[in-house]
Amino acid sequence: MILPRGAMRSPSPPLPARRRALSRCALGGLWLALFLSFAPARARCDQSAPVPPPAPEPAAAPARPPVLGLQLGLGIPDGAALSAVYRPWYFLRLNAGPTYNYVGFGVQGGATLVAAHFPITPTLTGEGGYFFPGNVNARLAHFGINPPVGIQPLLNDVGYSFLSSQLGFEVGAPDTFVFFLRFGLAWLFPRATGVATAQSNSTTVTVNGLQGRVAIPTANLGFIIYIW
Amino acid sequence: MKTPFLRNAIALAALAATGCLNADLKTSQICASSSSGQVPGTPPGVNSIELPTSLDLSNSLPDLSKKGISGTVLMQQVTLSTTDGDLSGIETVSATVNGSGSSSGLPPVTLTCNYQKPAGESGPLTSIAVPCSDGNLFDYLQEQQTLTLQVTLNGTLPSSAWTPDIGACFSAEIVVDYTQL
Repeated sequence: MILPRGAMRSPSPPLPARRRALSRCALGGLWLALFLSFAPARARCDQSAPVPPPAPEPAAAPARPPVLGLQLGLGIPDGAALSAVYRPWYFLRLNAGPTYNYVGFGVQGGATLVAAHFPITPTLTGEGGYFFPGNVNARLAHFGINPPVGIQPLLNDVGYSFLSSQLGFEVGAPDTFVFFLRFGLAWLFPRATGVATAQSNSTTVTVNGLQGRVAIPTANLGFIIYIW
Repeated sequence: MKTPFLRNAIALAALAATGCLNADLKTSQICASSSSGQVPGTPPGVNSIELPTSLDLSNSLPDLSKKGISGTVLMQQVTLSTTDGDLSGIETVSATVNGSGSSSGLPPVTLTCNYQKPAGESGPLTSIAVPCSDGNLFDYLQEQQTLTLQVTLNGTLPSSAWTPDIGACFSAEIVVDYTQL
């Protein structure tokens, strides 16, 4: 026996029952909209269909420690130095920037090995720099110091390069702000290009320029702010 | 992991510091000159004179006798100049450091400065540079900071009074070890 299409379905519910079902569906949709505003799960109005389990949230990527920062340091022989800092790994930090030593400006840079990613850690630093020639006489005059007249020409144009190795420690939040203090040994390579003159008895002596290498203890303190 | 790092770093720093606290200063040229006064004209037939000269370096060199100071002071050349004579007749010039050796108590210095007039040179000449072989004067200047030179001139010398100005130029390298001062 052939039944007409739809004959196997259950008979349609009476009109009031359908309205109740629609109103239930609308109310459910409202709740669902509210729910969806908090969770990305999808649902259909069909209450009979099983709600699929919510898709697993993607695993949150671990926060990257900042690699760029700014460093402000004060020390001997590198003067007051402002540096851009690049930290490719937590244990290695590179820095470079301008510096000033009261006589003149210069450029400096260095590398620091950091022992641990910890609020306090020892460090080993190597630095180098170059100071453009400056007039030492003018700076000494600010303090009321006047070198002998014969020596003054030698001090009109004095600059130096330097290399240093320092052992120190850092304190602070290693990814935000660290304060550092270092001590070590520095090698200065001074150069003076003037001609000094000295007179003793009937002898006139002229010294034409001076250069060399001077090893001195070095100290450096400052801080680093990581910005990105 | 931290301990070896710290140990190695301290060892490295100590190694760098050991024997490194010094200064090594050098100058390419120090020149000293002195006028020893007027020299009478040389009569005909005399073709050699000696000009003893003292160069006082006490105001221009540090006290080299202090412990911890070492270095080299090399004489590059001796200069002979004048403003009131003609040096074109001088054929050879030699210079030696006087007062050194066992008899004086000063360290011996082997220093030879010689000038030979170039062939064909003529005309008035007011300055002669006498090149020197390398002789380290450091030990000598440690004992005394006045350098006494004996300059000998040979040839046709000025016949009228003239005023020689004798000088010497050095290169110097001074090493100061702070830990021994």
